[in-house]
Amino acid sequence: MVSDPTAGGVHEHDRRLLVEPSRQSPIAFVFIAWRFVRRLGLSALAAAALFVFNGGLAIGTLLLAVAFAIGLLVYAALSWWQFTFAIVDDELVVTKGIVSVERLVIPLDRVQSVSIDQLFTHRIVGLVRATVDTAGSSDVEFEIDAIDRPRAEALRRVVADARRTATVVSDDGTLPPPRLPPSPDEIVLQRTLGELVRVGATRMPWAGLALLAPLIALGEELDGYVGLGVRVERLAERGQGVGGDAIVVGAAAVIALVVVGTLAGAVLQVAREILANWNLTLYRTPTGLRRTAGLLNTTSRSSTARRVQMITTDDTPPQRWLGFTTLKLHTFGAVDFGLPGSSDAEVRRIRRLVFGDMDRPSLDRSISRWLVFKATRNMAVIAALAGAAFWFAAGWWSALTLLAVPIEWAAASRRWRLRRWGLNDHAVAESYQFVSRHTGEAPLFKAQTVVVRQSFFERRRGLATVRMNTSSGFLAIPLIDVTEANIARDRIVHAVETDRRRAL
Amino acid sequence: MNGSDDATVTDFTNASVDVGALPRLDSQAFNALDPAYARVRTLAAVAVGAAVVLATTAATIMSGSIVAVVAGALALGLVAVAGVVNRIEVDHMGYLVRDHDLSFSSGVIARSVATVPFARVQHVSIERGPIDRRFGLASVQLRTAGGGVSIPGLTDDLAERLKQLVADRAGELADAEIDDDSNR
Repeated sequence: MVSDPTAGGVHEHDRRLLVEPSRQSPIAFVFIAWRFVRRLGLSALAAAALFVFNGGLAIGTLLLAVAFAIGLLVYAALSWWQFTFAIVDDELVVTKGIVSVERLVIPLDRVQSVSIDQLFTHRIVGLVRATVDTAGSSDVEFEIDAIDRPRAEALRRVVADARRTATVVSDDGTLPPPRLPPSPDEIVLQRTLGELVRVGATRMPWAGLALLAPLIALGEELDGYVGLGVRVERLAERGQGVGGDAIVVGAAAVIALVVVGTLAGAVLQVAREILANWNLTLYRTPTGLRRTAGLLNTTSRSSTARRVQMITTDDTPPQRWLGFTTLKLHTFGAVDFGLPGSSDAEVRRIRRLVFGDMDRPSLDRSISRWLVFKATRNMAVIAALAGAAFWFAAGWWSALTLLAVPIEWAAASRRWRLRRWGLNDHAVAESYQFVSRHTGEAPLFKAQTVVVRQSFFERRRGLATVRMNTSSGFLAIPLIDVTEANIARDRIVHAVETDRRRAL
Repeated sequence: MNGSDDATVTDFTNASVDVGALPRLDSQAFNALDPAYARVRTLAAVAVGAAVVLATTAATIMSGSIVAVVAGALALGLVAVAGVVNRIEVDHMGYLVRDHDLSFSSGVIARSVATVPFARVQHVSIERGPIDRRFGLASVQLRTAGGGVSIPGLTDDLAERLKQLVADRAGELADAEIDDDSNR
């Protein structure tokens, strides 16, 4: 690919802004120092601080702490001074390093995307962090932290322009006609506050129960202030006094705890959804997709359609009843696009944007029913061991652990009934569900490696697991007939070897 | 971007596939590894066993406790079993090179066949450990963007030829890829 000199950049102002080597903002000192401290490990520093203060502010340790602080300041200053970036002749040139200076030169048409994040700490000082993602690399190439937003946006526009105007030279050496100026970014979907509340409120709220853990751990100390334990004890005594209804009181207390925990969990999920996905917008740009979101920390992630390797959906029963799901685009690189609250129409539209008119495989195949046996058998072993362990404490009551076996059998039967997969000439798809449902789909030509594996259990029953690895995750179908698994592997490999489209 | 208004596909075709006519990997015979590799694995197991014996002896002398002896004996037993399984595993390892891909089979208790299409290979390298060098062996590592495969127990010459073959095929296939505007 070569840049078309006749197309003319539409962002000359942006190029002029970046042609001279730019440094990060001086406030980058703080971010550099903080990153260094984080690498050391906060626990190590906490231990060091405890050592210093427990041992008294001895002169020796104080001098050590001061020397460390000065060293950190010098390191941050040198890192800041050495780090520069500029656009020179269609290349991004980055210079960094203290002892050994490293000069990175990246052709602009190799840069896949520039993501711009603004964490809460950046927002206070009016700066952003730009993350550069290049072709052929699953990790980000590097970050340019603590720069002003106009410069970051200019970098992104220049990169997008370079990708858009790069063209293939034809056999006779002529270039195609210049392209039209880029069309404005089109909004594909956008989430309102009400939609985010709906998504958060319909997630599984059990995370809220974690809030109770510190209350239980600090129960005795807290009880001195609240007197809750005394009140519960009186309640229990009253329960015993009215004919041994202690069990009812206990059950009521447990139910109350679960209700409070669930409500707290739901509130937490709503808050989390709003913080993470405030003003979530998915744009269709001339070079791919861009997702922006966030309340305290705002992120702006870009990717080309080609780098999307898999799409998955996850939804809870309330979300299914209300007709929406969380769609996730898994991309090659550090950028995955989570799109909660997506309707069926939005999922279809986005799927068409990234995968084209490819037929979706029908989820018409099931896995072996041996799944139920395996799960039940494993639970039986665990229940027997647990029962044996509790025997000394609870006697014959420990046999109650065996109740877990029929429960697991029923649960595994449901999981088996709802586990489906499908394969056609273009893609593989799967779906599994117990309470929440998960689906996944990947075009066959995105496969990087394919593995057919037989565990000891599967070998004895003529079964196997086929796993298709992409650059952003995998799809694995367990417990299928080994012949079917081998055929699936052959079809995937055949698709990779005959479909000449670039996968990344 | 994908979509009928942007599609500019040229040479890409997408005819239906006769599944029954697909080449079947499971019907092909895999090539065994060099017999010397079994000796390499055995030596490695012996080295680990010796380290366990040494550690147990030191612990027994220092503590004078029978527990250290029992623990050491158990550990040695486990190492011996692992050594035997290692040895048997080598007999079940094999590789197969086809026109478009390379496959590696391994495993005794849990068996696995991993296939890497040459079109997806990003990096191929040769590794030689100290014991491998003693026996004139090497392993070839193939890396893709979604994992990779390592084929041990090859002679130096075979490893070099295999590496060259994979690199050449991967390069040819990379050049033949379609950079389709509709899929940017």
